[in-house]
Amino acid sequence: MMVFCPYCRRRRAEGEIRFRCHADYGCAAVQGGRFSRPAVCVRGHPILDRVCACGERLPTGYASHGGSVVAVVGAVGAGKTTYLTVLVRVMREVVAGRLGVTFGAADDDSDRRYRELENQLYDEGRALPGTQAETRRNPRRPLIFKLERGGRQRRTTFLLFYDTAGDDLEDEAHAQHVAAYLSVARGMIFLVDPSHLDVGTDLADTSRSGRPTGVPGPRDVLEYATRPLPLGRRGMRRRTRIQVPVAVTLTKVDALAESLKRQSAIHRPGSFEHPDPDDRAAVHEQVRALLHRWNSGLEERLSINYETVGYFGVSPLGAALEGGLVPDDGVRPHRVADPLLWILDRIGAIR
Amino acid sequence: MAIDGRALLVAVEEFDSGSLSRLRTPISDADQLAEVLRREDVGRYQVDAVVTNPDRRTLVERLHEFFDEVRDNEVALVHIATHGLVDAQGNLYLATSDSVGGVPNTALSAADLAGYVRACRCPRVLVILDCCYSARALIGSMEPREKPIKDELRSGAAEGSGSGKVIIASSFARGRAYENDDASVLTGHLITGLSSGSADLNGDGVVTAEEMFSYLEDAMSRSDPPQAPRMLADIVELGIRIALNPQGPRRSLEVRYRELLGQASGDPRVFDDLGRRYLIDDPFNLAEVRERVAWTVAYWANLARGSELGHLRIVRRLQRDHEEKYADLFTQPIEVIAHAIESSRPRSDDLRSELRRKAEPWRMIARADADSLRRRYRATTEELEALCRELGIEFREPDRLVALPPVAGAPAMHRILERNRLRHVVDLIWAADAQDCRIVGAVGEEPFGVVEHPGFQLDQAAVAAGASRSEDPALRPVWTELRLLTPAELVALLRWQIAEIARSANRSRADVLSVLLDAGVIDAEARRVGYAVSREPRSRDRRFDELRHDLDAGRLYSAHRRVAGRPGKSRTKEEAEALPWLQRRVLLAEQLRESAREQAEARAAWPLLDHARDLVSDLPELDDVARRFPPEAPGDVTVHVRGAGVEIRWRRTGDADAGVRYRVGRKSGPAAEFMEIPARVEDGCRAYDDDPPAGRPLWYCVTAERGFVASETIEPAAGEPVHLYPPVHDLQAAYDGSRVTVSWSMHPDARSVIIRRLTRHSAAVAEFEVEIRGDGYADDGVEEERTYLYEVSALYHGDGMSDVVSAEIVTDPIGEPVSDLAVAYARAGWLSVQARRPNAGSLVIAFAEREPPPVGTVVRGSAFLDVAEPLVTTAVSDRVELAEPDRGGWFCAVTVVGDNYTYGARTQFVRIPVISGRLVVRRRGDRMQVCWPWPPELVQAEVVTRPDGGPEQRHAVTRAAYQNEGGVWLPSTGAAVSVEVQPVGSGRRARLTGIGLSTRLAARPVVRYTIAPDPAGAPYSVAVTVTAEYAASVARLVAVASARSHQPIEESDGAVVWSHDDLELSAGESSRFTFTWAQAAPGPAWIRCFAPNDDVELLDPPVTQQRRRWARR
Repeated sequence: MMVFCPYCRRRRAEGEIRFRCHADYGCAAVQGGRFSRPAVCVRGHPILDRVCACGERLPTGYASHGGSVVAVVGAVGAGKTTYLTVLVRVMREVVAGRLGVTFGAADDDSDRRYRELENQLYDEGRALPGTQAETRRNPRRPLIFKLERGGRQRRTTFLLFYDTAGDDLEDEAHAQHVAAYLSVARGMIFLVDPSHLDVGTDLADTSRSGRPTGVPGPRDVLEYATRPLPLGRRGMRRRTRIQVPVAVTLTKVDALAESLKRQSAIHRPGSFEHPDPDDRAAVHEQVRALLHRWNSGLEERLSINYETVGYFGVSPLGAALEGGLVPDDGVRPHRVADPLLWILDRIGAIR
Repeated sequence: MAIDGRALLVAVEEFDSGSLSRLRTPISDADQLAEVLRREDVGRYQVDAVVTNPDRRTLVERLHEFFDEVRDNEVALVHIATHGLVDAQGNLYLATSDSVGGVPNTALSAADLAGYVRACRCPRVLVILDCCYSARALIGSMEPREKPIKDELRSGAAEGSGSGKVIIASSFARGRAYENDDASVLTGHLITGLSSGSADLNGDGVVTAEEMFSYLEDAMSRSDPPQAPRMLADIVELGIRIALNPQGPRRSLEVRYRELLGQASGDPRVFDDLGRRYLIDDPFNLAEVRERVAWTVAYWANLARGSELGHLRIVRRLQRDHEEKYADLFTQPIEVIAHAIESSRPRSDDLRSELRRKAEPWRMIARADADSLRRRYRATTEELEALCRELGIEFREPDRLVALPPVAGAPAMHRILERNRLRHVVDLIWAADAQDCRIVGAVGEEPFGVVEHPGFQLDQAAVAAGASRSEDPALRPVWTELRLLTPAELVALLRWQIAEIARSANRSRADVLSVLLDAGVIDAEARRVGYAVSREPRSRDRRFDELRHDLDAGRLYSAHRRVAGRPGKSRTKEEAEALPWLQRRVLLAEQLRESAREQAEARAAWPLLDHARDLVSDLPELDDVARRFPPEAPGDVTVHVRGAGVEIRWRRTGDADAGVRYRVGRKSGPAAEFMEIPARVEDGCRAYDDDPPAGRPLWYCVTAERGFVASETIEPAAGEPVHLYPPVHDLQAAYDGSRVTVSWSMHPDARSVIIRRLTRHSAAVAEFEVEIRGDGYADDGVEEERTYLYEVSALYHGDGMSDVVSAEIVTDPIGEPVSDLAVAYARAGWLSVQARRPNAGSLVIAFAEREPPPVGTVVRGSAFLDVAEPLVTTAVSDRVELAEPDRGGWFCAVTVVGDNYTYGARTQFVRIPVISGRLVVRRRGDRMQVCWPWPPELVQAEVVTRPDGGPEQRHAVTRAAYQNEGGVWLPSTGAAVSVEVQPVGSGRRARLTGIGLSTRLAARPVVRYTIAPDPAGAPYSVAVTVTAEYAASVARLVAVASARSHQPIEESDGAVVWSHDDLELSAGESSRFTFTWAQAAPGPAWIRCFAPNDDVELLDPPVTQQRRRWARR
């Protein structure tokens, strides 16, 4: 089995994932060993950790289950970090309990980095800063979460969320840094900020800032993100469409004008326990119609390149930030888990 | 894995004709190359003897022979180093020993060599030509074409990875090949690349032909003068594996460094090799050196930051070394760096390296060790001495350091000095003057001296002067010891201390030299001490340990007996050294003991005995003599009862400083034995027995003691015992309206208590007296509005009785407790408190920070005011408004009658934040979303909905649930509804709601519709069915059709195909309408209804159904 290392982003044979006693012992004796786990290291410490050949410790159990990369991409200022922070909170606090699964950070590093984000957004009520573009010297570490389903068909899935900075997909040269994980992605959440499109008066507050000038829009970002994605099995013989499910997610739907909220499926609450195909189809059609109405040009590209596309509407905060602060009503996520649940369903993690 | 290879090495150095100059390096190059190729970890090539200086014929024969012998599965490597000759047509010839300069035909034509290579059936051939113009090989007269020479070389060899025929030429067509002092440029780098593994560029553990060429190209371009090799190959991607990387596959730097650290924790010499210390694989590659040094320094910093304890010490050492020694090295030219790194690598097969290793870091070696090395490497004495001179290594036998403490108290003294941050006796004696001094004579035969202060002498005068200056009491014992030492002993003590400092540094693997320099030893002697310490045997024998332990513990007599009892020849070196001063000490101690024995006065004998014991603690008969001089017994012993304890007093006799201490004994029967008790002794003349038994006779005695010798035991002159009868304590009386409860605590030895009740008016006469075995009594026979006095005394065995303790109680009437109390927020900052008034007395609403006593508890006024704050007193009203307290606590209703306060109902109060701002309620289909500003300190709220015509409903919501769900989502019927949000707080027994917000949402009926082809109607007929759960009026309903594939979002997104105004819908009933689609128009992709006036919540039919339905048409 090949294992994707979240840190060096290379696919490693299981034999390359070696055993090491825990860092607490300070011995750090690394041992080879292909499949059988040595009980103790050369100095008699119990073996607890597995490390990639790049020297990074992998989360417990990761080497035997592998990880599923879910890339969160979008243009600069689309709110990817905020979305990811709220998504994880909702998955952990609401969805996991209702679906009868467990969802939590897979290692201390992810836990610590996630809690910093969560604390800033939820407890301090401050907007999250933009993610720094990735460089070769400063590669991004993913947030790794473990999703476990019990019962007869017990299954463990490690989800690797790479919070791609908007600047990472600014041009082709930057996009190469993130190609390593996009090329093994099992799913992609593609965030589209309506204010980056030609919405006219369809937003309630027309003073909301539009797309920052001089940076690529959603169309270009989609183009850069599409290139590294793996083609289908028949891709070598003739060009087929990419099999990776892509969830095109319209963010900040709370900002839509009142006339668009009436009779709108997006603005009704969804249900996690009993997914309603009609509700899914209604949201899909409405977001598709909105993107078409705003001349986004995404649908054509998506239908040419991707086999499976789902359209979603979410609002991570429920309202616009006020001077860099979360409004008094607090964080009010709306339908944020729908895209991820759809992808998990597609890759069989919760089915 | 090995490379199955066969190599032919040809070196032509000398030429018969004088027209070709002699070359310097080919033979030595070839020898070294052969050695590398034969190495197991490089390739295990089969290399016959180097063909040296062959003539043309011999060379041709050997080439034929070689290409014939080589097997298909082998790699054939041919290396030829000679002059390159070029004829007029530009063809290359390789000079042989019989070649003549200017007549190229006398040499081997490169074209012939190409022919042999072509003819060879082995598919993997590598030819390396180290000669001038060598790129002309196989090219003919044309300019060299640096491209794959398929046509020239292809010989039908099996294609595929790892096969091909390659020529590596040391220079381009018009270029010369150069020799350095010790090797030719090409071959030198070839040898380095193979032996160090640097040629394995991709780090996979294998060197291929391309990698070797790339390596040579890079390395030779940096040589002086630069040289440009060329490679000619028959296939583009050869991948011929020509050698293995002796270092093995390259692993990630971090993993490699962790392994090194692991090894180094067992043997720090791992890092003596600078290449390993900085992970430098190729010391001649400046870029790599810089990169690796920066990486390692950053990696140390990471480890140190991460506090990886296992490696922390070694990492700190590496960091310190880097700052002090090596940081400058890496700013030097690459040759200097490379030399330093190369020379740090251990080479066990070399006398020079071995000598250097053995002598490092002291640059000293014992003659015997040097001779053994000389014999091993078969060098002459002259060579050895010359080498040592060159390397700056001195022949020296290790000095003999002082192994044992030269005086008995030396270890203790050394410890005290260390604790006081003093290094040795010189520091102590000359204090501040000695801080920067340099000591001479720390080792060897040199007399003691201090370079900066020639006047310093270690003698009694210096000790006395130092002692007079010193005021530190902690150092007093050291001065006392030093005063007894002779100058020679003082010097020996200093030398022993310096040796101990070096040993301690050596044991903890610190840098011994710098520690000794810090201790003030001059450089030359510090090296001698360090060298001697490093040569001291690590494990000592058992006899040495015994001797050392005895000396450390002060058991000098037994050490002396054991050493002296051994025949002189069988004594160890240390024992022989120790014997004289052991003898001296024991003799002195015996003399002191004997003179004590002769004393008449104890005070004269005691110091002598003490001194003898200090000198030799295990001296025999010391105790016998001491017993003859017991201390004086105490006088005038008296005993007094003090409360529950006993005080014993006596008169002190003799000298206060004589070391006499007193012990107290106690017994509880005239015939019993006195037992020592742990009494507190104060001022040497009184003691306290804090916990004596009560109710029985007690006798006390006092004894004086010095050492283990005691005086006679003295009892009080009267000889009468004392008796102890402690009274009861914590006596309390309480009245609850019908009876008085009296409670107390008594001594555990008490048998019972006697209670007597007296009234205020007749205090002299007891109303009753009763004996109780317990700690409480309830008196039912009391009357209201009287004052009673209860006297309690404890009764002990033997009818002993304690003093009386009394408590007074007034039986005022008490009020009934209040049963109801309700506290609620009236408005922001104000509370509404409601309680039922008692029938008698007044009602007080009080606030207390802690929970009040149980309902019905009665306390007196002052006791009540100590714990509670009365907020309001009311005699008429049941309901009052109070300002909200600024802290949480308890409200309680108290009934007050006279001075009696009766606790009634209570409720816990928690401060609840006010919800202010805007309450937003939105309808979302058949649900509604409720949002409001959540105060930071609020933990829970309650949403109350009151729909018109429906029941009130309450929904509790926590802060986390509110955030996770994005507000509160409630079901909605479409009817008008009032929504109220209240903050909620709860204590242990109460739930309180605060001031919140409310709003009203107008009615907005939910209307559903379906739209489908009407099978019963005409073709293209469409039926719209509209249903409402509750009665509803729709001002206008339109159906919009769109031919596009996207769903219409507003009514303007398509053509209105049907409309209906003023539609009245009854509850639960459906209305059906039909309309016909114009036949000429294209079929719609979507039909969707809208209510433009926005007066109802219109719910669409399932999209999947719609999509299917209209798509089919």
